[in-house]
Amino acid sequence: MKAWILTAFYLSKDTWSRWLETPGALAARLLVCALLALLLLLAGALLQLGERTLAGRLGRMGGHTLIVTEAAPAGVDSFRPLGRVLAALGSDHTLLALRQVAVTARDGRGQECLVLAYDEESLPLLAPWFALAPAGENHLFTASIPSGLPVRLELDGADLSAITLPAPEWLQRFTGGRPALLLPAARAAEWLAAGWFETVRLSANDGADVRRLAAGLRSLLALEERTTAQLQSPEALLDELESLQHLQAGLRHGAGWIAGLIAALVFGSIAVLEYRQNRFTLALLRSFGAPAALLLLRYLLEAALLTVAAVLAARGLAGLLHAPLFGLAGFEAALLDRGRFDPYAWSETARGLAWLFIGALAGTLPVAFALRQPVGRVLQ
Amino acid sequence: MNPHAPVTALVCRDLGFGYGRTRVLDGFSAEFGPGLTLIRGFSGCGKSTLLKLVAGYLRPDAGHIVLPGGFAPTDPVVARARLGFVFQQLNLLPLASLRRNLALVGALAGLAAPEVARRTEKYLSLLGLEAYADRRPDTLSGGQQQRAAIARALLKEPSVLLLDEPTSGLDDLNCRVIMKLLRDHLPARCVCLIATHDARLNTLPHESLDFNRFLPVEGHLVALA
Repeated sequence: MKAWILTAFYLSKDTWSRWLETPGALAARLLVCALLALLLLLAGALLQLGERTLAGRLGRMGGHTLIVTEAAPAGVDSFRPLGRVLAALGSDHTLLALRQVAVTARDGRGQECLVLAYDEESLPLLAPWFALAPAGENHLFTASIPSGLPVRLELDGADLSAITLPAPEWLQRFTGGRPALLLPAARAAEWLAAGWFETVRLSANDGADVRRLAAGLRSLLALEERTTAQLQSPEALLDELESLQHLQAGLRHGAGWIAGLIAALVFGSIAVLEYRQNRFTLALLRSFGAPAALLLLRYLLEAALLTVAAVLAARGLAGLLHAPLFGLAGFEAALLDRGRFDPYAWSETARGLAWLFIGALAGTLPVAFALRQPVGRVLQ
Repeated sequence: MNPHAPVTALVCRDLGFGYGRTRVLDGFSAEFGPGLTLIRGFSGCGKSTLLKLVAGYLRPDAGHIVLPGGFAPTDPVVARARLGFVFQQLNLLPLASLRRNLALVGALAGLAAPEVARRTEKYLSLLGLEAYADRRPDTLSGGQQQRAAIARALLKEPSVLLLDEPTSGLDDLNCRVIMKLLRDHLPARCVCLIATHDARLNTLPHESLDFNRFLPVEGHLVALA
């Protein structure tokens, strides 16, 4: 044990002396490694920010939501509403189906309001909103009048009272931002008889697969021969996001590999030069019986130490550059908040940086081979 | 010969070795008993190569070597504990004091620290180096460095001591100090081989091996002489 300590102590002294004698070799390894690590970190952050931007866009556009529209012909009593048909799809999603009739209502200021009829399948989603108004009232969803106010509407020549409710974001898909009067289908029967335009929104629950939901929906529509129904699906965007993720994984893997290779070449070249300067001392130690593994360990530890130092320096620098650099690149400020998402966290960067580490350690391979040379070929 | 008797000699059998196509040894056999043996020969005749083969620093192409105690030269315990080697040059670790040089070798040999300290004082004193114990090799003269290298080799009190031209380039005084040490303080039962062409070492009680007969002297050198 004492022999190992003494040998390790001598080797550390030797390493320190070498650093002082040839600071250029030390600086070259640190700088190259730090530069590679910085590039890896920034490239990784760029890809992740791009992915998150796309994911955000997808979320805003309803990444888990399918929209189906269909125009129902007039005077066909047997035509089943689409919402009722799609209610058979299962329970891993929420369903909202609203049927727009061909008449519009007008409020006291003459503003047109859509008239949308709902069936009981949509009540689970609508009920919490209806609970904001007294029971038995009609509901006018509008952003232009404060909520909770009674209003008079004119509908197809008749007066109607309603209570205003705030327009939720999900309703935009159905109304395009216009005020909408929601009526139970039973109250809108006379207008529904003239046909309707139905919009159904299916939102996959958390963890549910939207692609599977879309496939089931298509099968059901085919089975029911609802050939005029139009489906808007986020599948294309999801595909794009997935291909971006694959690309990102591939790029990170490739960039890490290339960085590792460069590190191996730089570290290896310098290690060989330093070994040549130092081979008499190493051979002498081997002639005393010092294990070659211990001598190699010194080179491995040195490479590991320099790599860790370079990575830490690169991480600090990347943190400083992050907000200004990616802000200039046009990313949202909220996305650049490292308190919410840190692209330089070890969990995000470990895989790429591991290649750099492996490369630096692989740079000692020539020394490992050189240490196999018989002592008698070196010492005279 | 009793097969159970302890092996005290160093035995070389049918050794063959070459550097590339140049053969240095072919079918060399010899047995060296305890005490000093001077291996004599001109430069390039293979004396140093024989010592390196015996030390396990080179591997023979053919034949084998058995060290006292029955060890093979490549046995790791030999380099650490049973063998002392003094090279012609570059013998000392440059960044360690003489004391540290000796301590490291003693520790690798598995000696306890007090024993290393005792032997360090003994051999540095015998070689007149006690005043330089805490100095680095680069602050010492060539003679002092060579004496320190011999002290380091003897510290293990090895069963095989190999010295490659230990006195070449040294003045008479340094040479006499080394000779006195080898004559009076060589460990008991130690097989000591000295590769040399220094005639001053002839006064040592010794066996002798003329190595020139194993490799012909370069003809052009004879002509030039």
